[in-house]
Amino acid sequence: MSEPALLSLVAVADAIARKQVSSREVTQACLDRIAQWQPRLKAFIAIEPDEALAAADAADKALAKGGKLGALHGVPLAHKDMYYDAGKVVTCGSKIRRDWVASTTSTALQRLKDAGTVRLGTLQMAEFAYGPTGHNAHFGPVHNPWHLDHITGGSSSGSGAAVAARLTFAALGSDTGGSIRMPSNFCGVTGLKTTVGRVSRAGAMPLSHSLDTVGPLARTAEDCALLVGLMAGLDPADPTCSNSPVPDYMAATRGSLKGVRIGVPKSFYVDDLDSEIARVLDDTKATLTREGATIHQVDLPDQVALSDACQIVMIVEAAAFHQAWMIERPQDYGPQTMMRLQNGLAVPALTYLDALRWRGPALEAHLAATAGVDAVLAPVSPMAAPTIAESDVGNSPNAEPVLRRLTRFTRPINYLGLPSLSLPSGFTQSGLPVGMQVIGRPFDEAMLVRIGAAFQRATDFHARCPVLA
Amino acid sequence: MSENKRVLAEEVRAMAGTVGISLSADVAARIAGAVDPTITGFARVSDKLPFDVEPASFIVVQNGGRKS
Repeated sequence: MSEPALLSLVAVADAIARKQVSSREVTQACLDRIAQWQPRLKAFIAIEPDEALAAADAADKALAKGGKLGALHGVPLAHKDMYYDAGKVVTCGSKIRRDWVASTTSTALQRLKDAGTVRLGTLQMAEFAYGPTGHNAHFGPVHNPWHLDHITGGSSSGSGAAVAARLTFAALGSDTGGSIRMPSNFCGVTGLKTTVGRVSRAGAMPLSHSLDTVGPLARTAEDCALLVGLMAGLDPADPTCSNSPVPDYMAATRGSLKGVRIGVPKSFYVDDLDSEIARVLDDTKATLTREGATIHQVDLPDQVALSDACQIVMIVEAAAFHQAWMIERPQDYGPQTMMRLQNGLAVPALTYLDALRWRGPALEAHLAATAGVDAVLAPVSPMAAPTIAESDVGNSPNAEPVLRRLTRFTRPINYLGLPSLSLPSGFTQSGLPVGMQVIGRPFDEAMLVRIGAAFQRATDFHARCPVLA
Repeated sequence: MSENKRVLAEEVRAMAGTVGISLSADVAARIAGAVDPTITGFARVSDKLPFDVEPASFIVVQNGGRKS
């Protein structure tokens, strides 16, 4: 097999299981690409070639012996450096935890390990997952593999860049205000923000306990379906995790779009779009229609209020988690992270509680407005990835408006706790990827991967691969 | 918080002080300016919230809204 690193996650897992390629060959192929790309991208925080190859050899030996093996046996992966892995350093993209060693392993990560994955290392991220651009004051910015002087989006910046450049077959991210969908969108990969409560957050670094979600960035919707199917389900270590049955997501990806009703918002998500984003939205609607879906306008409730409520919940909960370090180690935060944490100090307790109290009625209103459709289609961001220079706003007075415009279309979905799949949907004339998000009903990830897989059978945006200049 | 109430820098400093975090006047003013649009914007909603709604209603709606 000439270029095993270019396969999808599902395809490489199948090829290893059928002994068409060894785990060592695949792992070495990823390590070779990492060696080429890492100096340009800075997508990894730690690269562990010796350990990865030893684990790959062990996987090959186990395969040779026969017996029942996991669905990802011998597949090398790297994840956002916020998933606790017992005995390993987990930096959380920070100076404060630069040398911190986890004593437990996160449930999501453990379930992927149980499926047989090989650890390649760890991926860059915004400091404490608190930033939508991909800048990091301690580790530097991650570079977009499609245009090195552009941002990846954050906070799962390394995950987006590494999956796009085919350095890992998939990567865990986390999404509190858009942190899976933003880098998926800007880097041209497929990312699934799960329903709040669908995947355990135990052992994943917290940012905002009401909003945090765990999910994958991968090359295809089918890859996301496989990963979420492995990770989802009840976890005694996370009492907020839902006990609802986990559907067969892989089976869902084989469904067609015939009879699927897709809503497109009348306003907000279609307002003030850059012209190239508007064109991709129109093209996506046309493709979905050709594949058998029907498009319907939906009149959503006030999305600005949802965004405000999301912001209130997030900034207060983040400040609460960080309170002790804000007092004891303020100098060890990057300026922008500290600025955003400080914002949480200004919210009255009653306002925070009102933002939590409104969440049920707000979701009820959204479900009523979308009762006639199976999912809602919207851009992930009103613009393509800006340059690193123009988005390096630090803690300047204009920082908040810049950051808020980037996440304008993602935060309302976090407040409602809904699942959303970011799909590579086109490119700008300058070659930057553009993504659309498909937003589902609570716990209906199956519909999203069905729509995503059908869309990807009809298009090739997800299959295009950046080339190192 | 009322829709007409603004976030004031001196109040931000006082609130931060109660949890042991001291802020300069400049930083407090920056924070007040940053969060005021969000808080006053959300007041349009929170001022009209019914009496008997509590945060766990979200889980009830979430489970009820699941596709059967």
